Amino acid sequence: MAILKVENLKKFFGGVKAVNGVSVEVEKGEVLGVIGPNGAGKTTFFNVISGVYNPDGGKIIFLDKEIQGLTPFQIARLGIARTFQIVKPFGDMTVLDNVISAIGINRYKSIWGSFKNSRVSETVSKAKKLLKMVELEEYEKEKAGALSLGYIKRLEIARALGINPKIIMLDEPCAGLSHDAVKDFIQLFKKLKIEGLTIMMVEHNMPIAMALCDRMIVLDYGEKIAEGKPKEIQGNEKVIEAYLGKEEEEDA
Amino acid sequence: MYEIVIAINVGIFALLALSVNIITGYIGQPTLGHAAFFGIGAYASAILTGKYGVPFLLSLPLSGVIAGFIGALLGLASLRVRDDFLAITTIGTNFVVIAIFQYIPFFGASLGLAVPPAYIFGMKITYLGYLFLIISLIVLTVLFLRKLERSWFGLAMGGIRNNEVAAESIGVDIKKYKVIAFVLGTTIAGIAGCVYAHYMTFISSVDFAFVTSITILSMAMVGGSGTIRGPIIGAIILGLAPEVLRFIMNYRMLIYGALLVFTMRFQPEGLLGERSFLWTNITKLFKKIRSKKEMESGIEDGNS
Repeated sequence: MAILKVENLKKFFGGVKAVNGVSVEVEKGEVLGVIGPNGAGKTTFFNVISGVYNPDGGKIIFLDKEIQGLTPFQIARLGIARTFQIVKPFGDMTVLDNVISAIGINRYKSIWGSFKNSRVSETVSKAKKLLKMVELEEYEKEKAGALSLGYIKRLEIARALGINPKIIMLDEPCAGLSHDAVKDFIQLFKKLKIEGLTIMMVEHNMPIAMALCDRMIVLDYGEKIAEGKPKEIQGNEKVIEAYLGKEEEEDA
Repeated sequence: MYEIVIAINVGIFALLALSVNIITGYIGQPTLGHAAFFGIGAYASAILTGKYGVPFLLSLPLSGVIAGFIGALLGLASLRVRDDFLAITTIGTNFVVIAIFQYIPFFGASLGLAVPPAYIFGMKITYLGYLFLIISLIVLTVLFLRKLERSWFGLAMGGIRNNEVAAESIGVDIKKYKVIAFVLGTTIAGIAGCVYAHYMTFISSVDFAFVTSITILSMAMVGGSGTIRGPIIGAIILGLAPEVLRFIMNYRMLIYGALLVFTMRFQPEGLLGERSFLWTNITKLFKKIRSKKEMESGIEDGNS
């Protein structure tokens, strides 16, 4: 069953066609990789799905409901969580509060409800459980802004999980991480997969993307140029061309 | 007598600093025109009680409501303009409000307005009464803010202060929360204005000028924005400074200004901010005392 269906999605910035007619279906429980060279429109694709940008055309259907044009907070409440390529922690709040704030997703709907105490034991223990999952439990009292990049990326995953999502979109979770931090991330990723979460992931690091994704789509200049299992993608001529450039006829 | 007058003044400014802190400290929106709402509350109560005979106990909350309503309009404007542009918009608001008070005869124009004395249950409020009133209002505000800090509302404001895109990604409707934060902050400022008007018995537009906005904001910033203790301490320090420094009359504004500059340069989080020199040492000291006590009681338990 497709949990998320994207049909002919378009997003233009002036004359730049950042996303140009991309269609894809995400199955429940799968890991879909979104890859492509720099400037291919991967992050824009994520931003349109999560509501940061309004699409210029096409449909986004999540659990049989059209969601294009909704605001980011409405989309989040439906169960689409995300992390950010350029990290956006709540820097002056504690690590624990970062996660607790996400658990409150349904409390923000009503004003009066949001005046209720957030530090109830049920919520705090849920947040601690998530921090334990991303192995940040010993930093719960630290300010989020004081953590290293690798930790902040893991905190963002914990925060995204806090909203109890049906699908999570990871935007370059390994970008800028050290070798060890990448290893830690892969461990965490495997845990997420065991939980049966549906994951969409933009990733630049090809070996990692190949290893972690069940299926992939490849974007280039805003268009989908390939789709399939990692093995199929690896041998796809168009993909090789997009990454390495075209060989000239005479040389062949 | 002199001490009570000073204390009431400091109290009014403490309430104002706490209220501006909701907007600047908690939800992170710059506002440089807070005195406008202080003035709106003062003028509202002066007119309600003076021209329409509304009793003080009713005009106190009403002046808050009126200031909060106009604050909501500024909150709506804050959704369109951001950061520096919002700061300038709020300055503009301050000037516009002052101009209205100064030039429209209904508001007494440049002559100002005389405010009738306030009665509670038929008794005229004395200076001591005003002191009691302002302290009660501060206590109520502090209790409310403590609840706010620990609520979902507080977390939503923290999210917006840090990163609006990330806050939306966890389901926070930032527009709604921004407007409400403006309403809360300006309502409290309006109530402070009402107390000020009746206590002074005479108000004019200059009392609520841009300089007053800066004073209020300075108190919150010097004390430590985003905290409850900060604005109160800031109001006490900056409120008392002109009095304490009276013996060097001519230079007191110089010292006052220097204090602002030095705090911003060396303690940007304020004197009692979360990571400030003073506050970290105070909390350390308390921890030491506590652990010492625990150790002692542990030893006693061991002996018995």
